[in-house]
Amino acid sequence: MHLTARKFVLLLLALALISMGMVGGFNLLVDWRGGYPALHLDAFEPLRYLDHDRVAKAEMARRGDWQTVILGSSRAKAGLPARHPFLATNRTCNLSIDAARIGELAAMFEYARRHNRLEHVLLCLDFYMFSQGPQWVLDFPESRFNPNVNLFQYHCKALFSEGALKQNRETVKRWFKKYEPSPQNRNGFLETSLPPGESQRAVFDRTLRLMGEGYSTQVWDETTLECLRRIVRGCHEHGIDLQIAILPVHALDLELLYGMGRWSEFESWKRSMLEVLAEEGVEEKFGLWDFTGYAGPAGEPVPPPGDTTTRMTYYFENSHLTPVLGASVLDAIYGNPGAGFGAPLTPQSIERHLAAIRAERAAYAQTHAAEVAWVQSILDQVARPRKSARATG
Amino acid sequence: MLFNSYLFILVFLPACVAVYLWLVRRGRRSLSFSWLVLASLFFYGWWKWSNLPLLIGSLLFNYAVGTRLGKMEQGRGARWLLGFGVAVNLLVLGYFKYANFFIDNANAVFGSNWGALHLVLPLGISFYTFQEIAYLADSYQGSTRGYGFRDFCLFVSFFPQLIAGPIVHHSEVMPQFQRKESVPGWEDFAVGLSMFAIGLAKKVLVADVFAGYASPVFQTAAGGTAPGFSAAWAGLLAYTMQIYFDFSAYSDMAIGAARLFGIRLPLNFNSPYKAANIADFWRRWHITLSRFLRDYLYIPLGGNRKGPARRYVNLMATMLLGGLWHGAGWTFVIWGALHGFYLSVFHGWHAWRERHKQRPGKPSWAGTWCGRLVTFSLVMLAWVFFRADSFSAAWTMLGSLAGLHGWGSNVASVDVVRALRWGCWFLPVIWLLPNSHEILATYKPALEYLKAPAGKFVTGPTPVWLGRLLNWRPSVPWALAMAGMLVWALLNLFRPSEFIYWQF
Repeated sequence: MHLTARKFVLLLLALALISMGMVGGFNLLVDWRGGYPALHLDAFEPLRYLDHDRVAKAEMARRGDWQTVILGSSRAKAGLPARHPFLATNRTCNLSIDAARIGELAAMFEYARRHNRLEHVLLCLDFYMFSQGPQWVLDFPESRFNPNVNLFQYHCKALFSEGALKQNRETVKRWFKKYEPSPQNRNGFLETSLPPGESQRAVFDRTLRLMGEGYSTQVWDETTLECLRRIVRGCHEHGIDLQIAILPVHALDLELLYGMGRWSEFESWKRSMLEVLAEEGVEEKFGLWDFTGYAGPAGEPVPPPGDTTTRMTYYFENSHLTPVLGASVLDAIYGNPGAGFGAPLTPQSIERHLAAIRAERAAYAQTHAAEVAWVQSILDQVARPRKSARATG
Repeated sequence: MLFNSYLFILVFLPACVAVYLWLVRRGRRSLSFSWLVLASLFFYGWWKWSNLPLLIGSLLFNYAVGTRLGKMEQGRGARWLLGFGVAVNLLVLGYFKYANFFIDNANAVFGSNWGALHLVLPLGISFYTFQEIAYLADSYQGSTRGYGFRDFCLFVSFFPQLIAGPIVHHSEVMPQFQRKESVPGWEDFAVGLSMFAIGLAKKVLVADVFAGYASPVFQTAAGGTAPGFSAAWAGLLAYTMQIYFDFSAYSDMAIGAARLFGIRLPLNFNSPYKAANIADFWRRWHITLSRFLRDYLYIPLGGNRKGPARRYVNLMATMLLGGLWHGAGWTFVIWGALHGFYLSVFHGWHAWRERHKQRPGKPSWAGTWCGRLVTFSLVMLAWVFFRADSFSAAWTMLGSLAGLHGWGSNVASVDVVRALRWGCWFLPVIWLLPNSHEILATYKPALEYLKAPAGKFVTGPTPVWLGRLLNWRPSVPWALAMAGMLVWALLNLFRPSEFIYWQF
């Protein structure tokens, strides 16, 4: 078994090169993210684009044949139904990402626009996307959305990393099992449900705590509105239809904001977005829809403690809507605007609209005093002092 | 360019070796070293091109001063020139590394409001500055005559050691640059590749995994939240392992990469947690820094030649400055002071025993292990200050370790049980397994190879049979093992992280 030094070196290098070559070849042919369309095997096509991190969404956006893109957070990812007639008849890619920042959405829009002939953009926003702090988070800098991404490192990771190897192995296993992803699980959409046997109230409690803690330290940063302006301007210049939706959350989620004294900040944010549209001269052309409020689906009762079977129709938890409610959002925007759900904001209607929500909130607090007290007690436990605060309501 | 990046491993290093070999094979020995200088400057500039002029300026200045010193007779003029050279080096280092530290402290003491300077610490400046200061001091002694500018540049900027050491002495590498025979050979490649593979695996598969447990705990403390007792111990044990494997990995990779060019670097890391006392620890941890501090600071201060009291003062001063060398912060000063205190107590105890005619004989097995455990615990405790982002974070961590902030884990992202289990699994590894230099001892990977007594392969606590079993030689099983390690590490290289010592 003893070798000369020369043979040792040649054997070591040969073993390493062959192993790496095999790994790279396998990853290239299976290509779970769809990054190498010219070289990968078409057999695995239906099993590609199933991942949801930022790197995967960038590869998805790069495909080149999308007509409609959805930009938003996990709410839009899980809450909008892929089968909705508008989305299903347009080649739609849901680029929504977890814990999205508006700066990320602006970069994603620009990237998707350059690689596709976009006709529609549905921008699903929430207040917390406009917080102070880094605008690119998690794996965003490592994705192709980042114009300065190190492509050498990127391809090495895609071809030679253990993570890619595991994912591709999983893809091959699925292929052998003839797994067929549902439409709600493809092209960036996510099919999800609560685990059986889990009390939905317990899920609410957990999420309210988590979000209450997070929200309490977030500070609205008005300068982030420039990112919104970039998207608006980009759509305007390239003849793309833009619809902006403030997605519905459960009344208890709004209570977190109210309880932290950030209500007027929340209203100012809505006014500021409308101002951006007006300044760009597109307030008539593009829609800004507000689906938040206390009435209708937002006030859906949360099942009592210990109830592990009843499931809410419109919400998974305080922050995430179900596709049933998502369908109503899409109906309002693209189908039947007069259905009564959601309100298009205009300079003429906004103050009336905001006053109506305030009135709804006052009524809700009276009729749901125990629920409001529950949120307040959570806030008392988890809210942390903020670094700096703007005007509070 | 990080050692643990695809770019370095798959492009830079192979290209650099290929061109070097091509030149050597054509008999262009001189040109091959010039190529290494160019490659090293490119390697340095890749991180931040704007810092390259600083390195080149430093090379020109120190070579000029060193050459002049070498030609002067020892006397007042030479002393002034030496002082000038050392002062310029320290001023540059001080400006980049300590200016903001000084401003912060001046503001705190005098209530002033001086703004911080927008400085980015040039990579490796602490290392190459010390190397050049040593060169100037030796030039004054007349021991550097006859070195050419190219060799000097390579001595300082040779990329395997440029960023984080070893802090090389000119007498160790200059003669290797001046050799005329054709190196490297296949044995150099075999040893170099194996050392590099072992180092890469240590970094990627061990140190970075421990970092995932340690960082959230220390970040929690830095954020003002006290980790619970179990989380604090898990975090500290993880950091103790992280820094050990991180620095060990870097040293192996540096020595392995240098060996691919036929150059042997000095040993820099020799299983420090096997040390049975704190003085032994410092003979094993960052060996070349310890040697520099001893030769160019402790001994010139008087060492142990001016009485016991002065000896302890010198020890404390050396360790305080050693701590400050690592970083501009009070936490590093405290870390250095702690080690100075440990060393003073150790030497004081030895002196006391000698005074009372209790000259220690060969320590018993139990005594040695007891010393090893105490040393390990003291070193581990001192890492709290080394790792903590601030003084208050260090105190918070110490409070958590003492159980003052609850017993459970309140760091959600850390699996405490798994961190502790991993940490405990690696204790036998660091105490009982032979280190990479012992494994390759037959082929002398570094300049000071670890020579075991005849018939043995290892020294210290490692069982002899294990040493014999893990004695590296060019063979099929070792080729399989090294290739497997290399491939496994490369597959896990997707998130390159800096070596801890690169920040110094």
